[in-house]
Amino acid sequence: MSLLIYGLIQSVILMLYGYGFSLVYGVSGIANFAHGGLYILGGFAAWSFMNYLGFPYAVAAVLSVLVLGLFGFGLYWGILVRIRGIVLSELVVTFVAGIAILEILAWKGLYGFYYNLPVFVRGDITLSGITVDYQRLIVLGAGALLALALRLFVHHTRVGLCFRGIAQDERTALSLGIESDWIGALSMAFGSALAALAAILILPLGVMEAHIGYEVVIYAVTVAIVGGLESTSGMILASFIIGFGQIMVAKYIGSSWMVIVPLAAIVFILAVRPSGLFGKFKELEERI
Amino acid sequence: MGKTQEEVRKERLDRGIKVRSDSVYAIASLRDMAYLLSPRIIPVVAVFVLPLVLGGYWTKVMVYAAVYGLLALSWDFLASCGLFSLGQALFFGMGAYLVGIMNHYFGWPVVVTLPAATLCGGVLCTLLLAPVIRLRGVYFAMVTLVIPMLFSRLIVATKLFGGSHGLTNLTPFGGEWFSTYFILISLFVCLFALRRIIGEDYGLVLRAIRDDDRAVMSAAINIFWRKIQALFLSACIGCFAGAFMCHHYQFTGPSAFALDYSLMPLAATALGGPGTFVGAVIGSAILVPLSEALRAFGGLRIAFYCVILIGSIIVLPEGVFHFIARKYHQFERDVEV
Amino acid sequence: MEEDIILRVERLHKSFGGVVAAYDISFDLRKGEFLGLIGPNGSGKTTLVNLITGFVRPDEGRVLFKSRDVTGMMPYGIAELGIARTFQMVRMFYNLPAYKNVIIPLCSTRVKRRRGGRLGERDDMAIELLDEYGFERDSMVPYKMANSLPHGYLKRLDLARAMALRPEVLLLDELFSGMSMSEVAATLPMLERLNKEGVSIIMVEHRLKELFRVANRVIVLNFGAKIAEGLPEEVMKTDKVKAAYLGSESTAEGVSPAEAGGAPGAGVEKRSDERMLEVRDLSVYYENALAINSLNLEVCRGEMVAVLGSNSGGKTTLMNTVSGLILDMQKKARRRGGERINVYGRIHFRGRDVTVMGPGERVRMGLVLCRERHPVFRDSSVLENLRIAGNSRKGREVKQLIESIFETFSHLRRLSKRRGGLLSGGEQQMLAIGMALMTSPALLLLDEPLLGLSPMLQQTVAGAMKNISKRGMTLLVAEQFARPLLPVIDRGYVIENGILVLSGTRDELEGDPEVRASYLGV
Repeated sequence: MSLLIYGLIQSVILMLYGYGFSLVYGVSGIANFAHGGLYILGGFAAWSFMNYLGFPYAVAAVLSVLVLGLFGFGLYWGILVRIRGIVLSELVVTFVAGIAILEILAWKGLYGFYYNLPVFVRGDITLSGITVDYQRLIVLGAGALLALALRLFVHHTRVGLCFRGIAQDERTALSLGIESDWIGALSMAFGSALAALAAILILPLGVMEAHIGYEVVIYAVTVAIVGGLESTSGMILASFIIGFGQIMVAKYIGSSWMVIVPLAAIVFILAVRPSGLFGKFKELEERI
Repeated sequence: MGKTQEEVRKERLDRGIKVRSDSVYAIASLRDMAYLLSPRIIPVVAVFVLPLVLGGYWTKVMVYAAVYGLLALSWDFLASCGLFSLGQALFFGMGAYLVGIMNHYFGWPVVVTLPAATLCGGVLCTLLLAPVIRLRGVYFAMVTLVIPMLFSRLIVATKLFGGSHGLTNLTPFGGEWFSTYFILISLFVCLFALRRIIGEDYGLVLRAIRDDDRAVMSAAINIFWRKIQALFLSACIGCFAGAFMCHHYQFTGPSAFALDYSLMPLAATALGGPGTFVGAVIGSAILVPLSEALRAFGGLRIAFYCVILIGSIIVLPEGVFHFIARKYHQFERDVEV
Repeated sequence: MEEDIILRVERLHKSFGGVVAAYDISFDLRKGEFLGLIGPNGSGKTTLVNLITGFVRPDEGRVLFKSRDVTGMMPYGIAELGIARTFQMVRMFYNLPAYKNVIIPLCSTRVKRRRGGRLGERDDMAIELLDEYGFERDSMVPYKMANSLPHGYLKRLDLARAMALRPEVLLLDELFSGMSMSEVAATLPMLERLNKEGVSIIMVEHRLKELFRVANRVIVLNFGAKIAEGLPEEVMKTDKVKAAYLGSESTAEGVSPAEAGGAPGAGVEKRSDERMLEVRDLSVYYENALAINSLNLEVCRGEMVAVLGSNSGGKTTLMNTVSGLILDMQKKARRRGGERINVYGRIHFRGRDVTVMGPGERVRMGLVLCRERHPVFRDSSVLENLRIAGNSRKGREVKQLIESIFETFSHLRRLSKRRGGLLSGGEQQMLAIGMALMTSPALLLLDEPLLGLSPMLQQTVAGAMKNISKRGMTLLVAEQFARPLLPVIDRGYVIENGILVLSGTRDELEGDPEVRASYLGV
């Protein structure tokens, strides 16, 4: 039973890590390696709003999501838009931006046990003999809600529909009046906001340190590789496989071996089905 | 007009001496020969003389720069055929650990471990990354980014191969001077070899694969096999760098897979000019001493060269090498349209 | 397999989602034959070439080369065995000299095995090779950068690149497209010589007059299937082929010409003198190929104007330029370092100069393009497709628009939940037009809307277009099928090789024998 609950929680955490990355890639085709940096920046923003400006937690949380959205938008509009289409430059810029953010934060002192975000609700609950703290349950619930909300958003709102359009066929979307640069920037804004949201949900479970950003990138990229880059459902499935895998390894072998699961998953999927579980292996057709 | 045109535009013309010295008749004139040879010979001579001139500390920095230079060359070669790696650290760490294992657990001497680690490392890395070659470029970046990071975390968590303490007390690499000149010579050998390869038809095919692999496929060339060859060569160079460092410092640990080893070659090559190989070396020669000088700032200096990197991509995409070469060979003037 | 059959295609079948690109195609190629492969746009010619050369894997069927099954082999494997091809869209390495482009095939094992060639020797081999294709050995031409070569030279470079492999079978995909008459005249003898030397050739072409001079047999495709095979003159006389090229007769079931067109000026008063769209001196270059040459065109409010012409005549380029899509293509090509696109001339829409305006802004002004080859969003349902298209409209308006589109295309109503990619070609085309309509355009541009449609559907769509026009919308339609379209339009232009050759009212065009001649090549 504890396996089930903790497995679910771990899976949802991985899914939350992966959403921002997946969304940005799906819509604008950019692999946003700065995702981890944006995550920690979101947490740091919330912390700053609370401790420097004295805002209550709820306000700080909302503000940090908005601020990160703006930051992501600016990142796209200011830098990425100049190098769109040049694959190498896109990769390098996001990779490097992520590292820059994390290293600056680390330099400012974001390591050790000093910083953390408070949980939403203190305390814990006992289900079938297993004690789970409320925050973890909130993560679980919020994750499920977010998945649903995003699905509704993408299929039923104007911006979401534009995302669908650009993601599937950019030129047709252009001919229908959808501006690809604007939508690209918006997708980056959403991706960053999602990163901040994930940070606010998950960081309270532990300590806020800059190097956690690297963990986030590792997991976001891993679930994207294993699930298939274009497929959100693939990403979610991959999160569950890896999440449950990690909890099982922790239980039966030892928690220090948890990190082997993502590595094994990548090696396995590359050997067996390189484009991912639900990835579309277009290869040759893309070249015609 | 559908196209906006300025009244005056800058025109670039080759300098007289470049035009004159372009053909074989350059041999006739000492001045022309000097024009052609000095940019090649002077830096090489300078590099070999410097360790005699500088003190021990800066010589160590030179060694460091040479190692990073090798990693940068390895990256540049991969990039020339369209494989954009964010994980040179994978090659570096693989080479370092293979040497560490061979030396620490089996006691093999340097003469054996160095070539063995280079080749085995090359093979292992190639096997690991081969499946990704058929996929889109982004996948290669993603996989190379994540795998070294996972390796290092695995080693720390499971305490394999010495865990976070690493493997210590390894056989040293000859003397200080021997080490230093060995790596410098290796660097230049690599540089000239790679430039030669890229300049020849083999390199032409690789670059063509990067630009338009459809055309190359219909020219009866197996693009995946070529990419694998390039990957192998690149991996060997990277593993060699890691293997050398391991013996040079007589130590290796999970830090061999650090992001730094992926980031620096990238920054160095972007700064110096991708695709030129000389740019990769120049970039390392600039960034590594700079990074040492900025040691006081700690992690901030990483942020600093991230900024340089982004700046150079946007402002000077051609890179330092091309910029200097252009200034050397050409001059600009305004021309009426 | 018989001795003299070098290539056999057996029951090839390929579909992309719901669109059938190749349907049960079988034919043989004999050694030394020169086979022409023709058919209207979208009939599956390029797909067939891709299937043979390994760029696309068939769903069913086989390809046999000299009795060896090569189905599903990688393109480089097939090229290695001796089948070479050129490409419809030439992609050269523009920043390299011409001869370097040809060195690449010389590095393959096929060439190395037969002719050797070490470092340094290949340069000479390349120059020698190019000499046979119009790049004089002793001139500067082989050393010129590829991006400074005229279009005809680039096409011949592509040919030289394919021939560098010394193949036994050569597939040419629209080699003559974009070439001037003199360039074609210079290239034809080269092909004849190759054929005499023993190379079996399959040539996909739209310029039928020139093709028929060299081809000894011809295969005609339509809707992905083979509809005729035989000697050129005979094949072009059959009704099926005529229908394939000109579109169906207006008396087929569906809508009669009287219903579809009516007398000019009948019904709602719509013709005015207000010029909605004015195109002046438009010229468009793809690298050095002139796709459109000093074109002048205008469309008045309420009119339905057609731009007719056989393929690769410049119609799609015109549509892309008027809609602004070409600016996006230009931007991307510049970033990629691909062929440069240059646009000269002026476009005025509703009195404003829109030449440098982006496509998004033009859509907001009411100038909307429905692109060729039925562009729909494949993973979204029909309903979602329409909603994406209507993203700039308010909720209620969207519902009304969708309702009116389902009325015009009742077939789509039943399919509202089906995924776009699973619709048939005709259904996708209707959806694409519907999507363009969701933006409530003032001037609707349609690029080959009748492509891939069955005769009955062609009538339906032509009729639907007329209805839309009667309700006050202005339409500019680029189309190869003159027959179903002529009865319903007000005015038309005919473009050949990027130049305007004819213009007139519907009656003038219907009576003109030239219009008919330029399609059939007879």
